[in-house]
Order: sequence, then C-alpha cells, then structure tokens
Amino acid sequence: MNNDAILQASTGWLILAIFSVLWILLGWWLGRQAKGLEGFMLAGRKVGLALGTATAMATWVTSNTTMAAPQLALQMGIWGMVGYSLGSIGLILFAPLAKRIRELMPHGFTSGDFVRLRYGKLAWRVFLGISLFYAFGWLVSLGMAGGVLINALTGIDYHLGMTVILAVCVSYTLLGGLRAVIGTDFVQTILILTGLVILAVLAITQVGVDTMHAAVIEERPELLNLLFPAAIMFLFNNLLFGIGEIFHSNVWWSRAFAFREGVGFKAYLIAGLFWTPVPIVAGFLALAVPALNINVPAADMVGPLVAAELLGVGGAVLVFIIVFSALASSLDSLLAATSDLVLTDIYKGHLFPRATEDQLAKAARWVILAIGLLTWLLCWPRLTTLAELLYLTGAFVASTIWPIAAGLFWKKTNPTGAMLAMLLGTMVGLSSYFLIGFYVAALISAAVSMSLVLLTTWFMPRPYDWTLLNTQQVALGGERS
Amino acid sequence: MIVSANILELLIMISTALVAIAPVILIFLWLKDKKGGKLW
Repeated sequence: MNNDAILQASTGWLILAIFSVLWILLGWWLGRQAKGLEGFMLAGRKVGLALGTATAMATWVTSNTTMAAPQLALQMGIWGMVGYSLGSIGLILFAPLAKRIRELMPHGFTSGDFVRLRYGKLAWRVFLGISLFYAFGWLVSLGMAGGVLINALTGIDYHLGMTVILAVCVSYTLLGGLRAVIGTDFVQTILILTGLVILAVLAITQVGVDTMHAAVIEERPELLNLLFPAAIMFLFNNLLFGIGEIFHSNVWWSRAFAFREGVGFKAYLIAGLFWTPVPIVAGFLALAVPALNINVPAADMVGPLVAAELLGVGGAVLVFIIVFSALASSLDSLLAATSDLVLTDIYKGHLFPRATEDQLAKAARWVILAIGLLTWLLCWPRLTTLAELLYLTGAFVASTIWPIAAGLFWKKTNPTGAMLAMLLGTMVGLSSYFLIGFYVAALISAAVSMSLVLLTTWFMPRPYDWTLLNTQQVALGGERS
Repeated sequence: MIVSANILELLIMISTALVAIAPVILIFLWLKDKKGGKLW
C-alpha cells in the first residue's frame, strides 16, 4: 500500500470498476459489426474523419503526456512544455504519408507489408526487429505506468492496478478489434480534453498567471529562461524521437489503412494541430507549485498534487479519470497494432504462409491474448530498467525515418541502402546513447540513416515499380496459397 | 532571456482555448459524419 496516496483505495476501485465496465461494454457493442479479418484488424477500411482524428489524438496522448508534461515543466520550465508539444510535429508530418500510403497500398495491412514489398525480405526482417522491440518497449512502459500511477494516486497495489488496466484493454480489443479501439478512443479523447480544460481554467482563475509568474521568478527563475541548455537539447531529441516513432510504427500505419479514402491527411493534420497545446495545458499546472507553496515529494506526481490542491478530492478524481483514459487509449491501440504486425508479418509471413483468411481471423484473437499475457509477465517484476528501455528505442526508431519517407516518395531509393540505414543508424545511435547520452541517440541515428539513404540513392539508384505495392495477392505477409 | 508574464499568459490562454475547442470540433465532425453516413 502507498500511504501518501491522494485518493482512498475504495474511491480508486470504484472509478476503475465504472470505467472498466464502460470500456468493455462499448468495445463489445462496437465490435459486433466487425466482420471478417479486415473488419477486425482495420475496422472495414471506412473510418471517417471524426473517429480518425480522435483516435490519432487519443493514441498520442499517453499517460506520459498528462503526467510527464507537468514533471518536465517543473524540471525544465517553459521549454519542457513547449519541447513536449513538438511531439505533434510527427503527427503533422505523417499526414502526407498517410495519404500516400492509402493511395499506394489500398490492400495493405501493416507497415511490414510496405517494407517487404518495397525493400525486400532482409530489410523487412531488420525493420520487424526494430518495430517489435519498440512496440514491446512501449507496451511494457505503459503497463508499468498504469500500475505505478494507480498505486501513486489511490494506494492500490501496483500488481493489481497493472493487471486491471491490461486486462480491460485486452478484453475490449479482443471483443471488437480496431473498431472497439477507435470507438473507445473517441470517448477517451473527449474525457481527457475536457478534464484538462477544467483543471487549466481552475489554475488560471484561482491562482492567476501573474501570481504564478512572480512566484516562479522569485523561487525558480531558470524555469522561465529561454536559454536553458538542457531543455533545448531535450527539445530536439524529443522532436526526432517522435517523428521516428510515428513514421515507422504500425499503430499509425494501421490507421492510414483503416481510414476512409481522403480522410488520412486531414485526420492526422487536425489531430497534430489540436495535440500541440495539450502538453502546455497539462504542463503549466506545475508552474503553480511555487505560488501554491506545495511540497512535491516526487516530480512525476506534480500534476495530481496541483489538481488536488485546487479542487480537493474532486481534482484528484479528475486526474485519475484523465490518466486512466490516456493509458487505455494508447495501450489498446498499441495492443491492436502490434498483434496485427505479429499476425501478418510473423505468423503468416514466417510461420504459416499458407494460412487462410479464416484461420488468420481466429489466430488474431490468440495473438492479442498472447501479447497481453507477455506484456503482463514483463510488467510483473516492476523493473525500472524495463521502463528505461523506451529511451533506448530512440536510437532504433529514428533510423527508420528516412527509409520510410524516401521509400514512399522516391522512386529510386536504394533497397540495400535503406536496409543498411536502419541497421547502421540503430547501431551508431545505440553506441552514442551509451558513450555520450540519451539526448543524442535519436539525433545521431537519424543522421547516419539519412546519410546512407541519400548516398546510396544518389550513387546507386534503383528504380521501383509502384504498382507492385498495389496487389492484393502479395499483401498480408506474403504470397497467398 | 526570461519569458515575461504577458507572453506566458498568452501562451497559456491560446493553448487552453485550443484544447477547449478540440472536443467541440470533434463532436461537430462526429455529427457531420453520422449525418453523411461516413462515421465508419
């Protein structure tokens, strides 16, 4: 038990029960109309603008956005919030990619399909290694964050909280596939945004920006300094990390395939623009700490502490609902997209190439269950080093930015160069992570990868026939039987 | 180079207004898609 918890465990259990039942029922209800493999994995490829925009926003608003943004504001000041908000650049830049993906691959299922068809099997395997490492790093960090945050807010045991959040997300993803994920994302987005606005308005009216500013100037003036060096480095690393995460991950590709024709570009652009201010609104609450004279024992609890100070127990309940929604909206998306990648590119692509669509539809549920179980096992020991794995993934994902973008738009991108760019970019990025620091890993990885893609394409161009991407027969992880 | 109170207020006000508008836009888009049969 955690004696410093802001809410009583009974209140925590009540909120968990209400929202768990809500998400599972909603997932089941929405999933009733998911027919066949495409219906389950890609929501029938007809998702409209409203649901498309909401799911892109909700997935990118993780527990990190709502809890780490105030923490970063407390540690790095104004650049902490603004730097975090630059995470939206990845979403905005993905808008033209989503349009291109839908046009080139109307029958595609995963990002793995693209890499295999565009660059060949060796590059595909390198890409799968990077993508699955990142996906499990993110899944484990989200599962662990769920247990830690529920424990910190309510005192509920870490293992129980982590198990509940994983079980709920696995349940409704199993029941309704991507339809359930996208449908619940819409409700979760509305809850998160409304909750954040309530907290922000309370902070502005009860404390006042002038009072906050004066108190910060007196106690922590460096937080308002635009030339805070550590914060500026964080800003650039976060920007490249975010772009790499979005460009390669099947979470975003599966949505590009699932959106109705003409929706992808608008959905990602609107989601990016509306996501930009979210970390600033969540983050500036931390600047009220000096004015409210709050004692902050752990930096990552600053958001809930300020909310509880402003609104009492109601504020803490509101933060709990925001955090639970943010966690669920990202966990479910990642669970669905990772299971698509494992099903299509590992199960069908490597293990059972002759599997029929019906067999794949049945296997899809088992894959979700297996990934949920594996995540739960990895989260159980609560190894903080596992959560830190996510920082390591910066070196991995940043190496995919150029191979993905150049492969989608340049006809002559060299496949061997793209494969080497991912491999060497990751290796050099990892070395710089250990030799220099986490803040250069993504930057160096992206620079090495970019150089290789540009040089090999310049000196050894390999013309590609775009129509090879638009063939139903070779989609879904390999040749159909 | 310290950020002034006015700039900080402007940043917070604009950000809060945008986050407040977002759910309204999403619900508007939802109603529009629903009416046009383009929700799913």
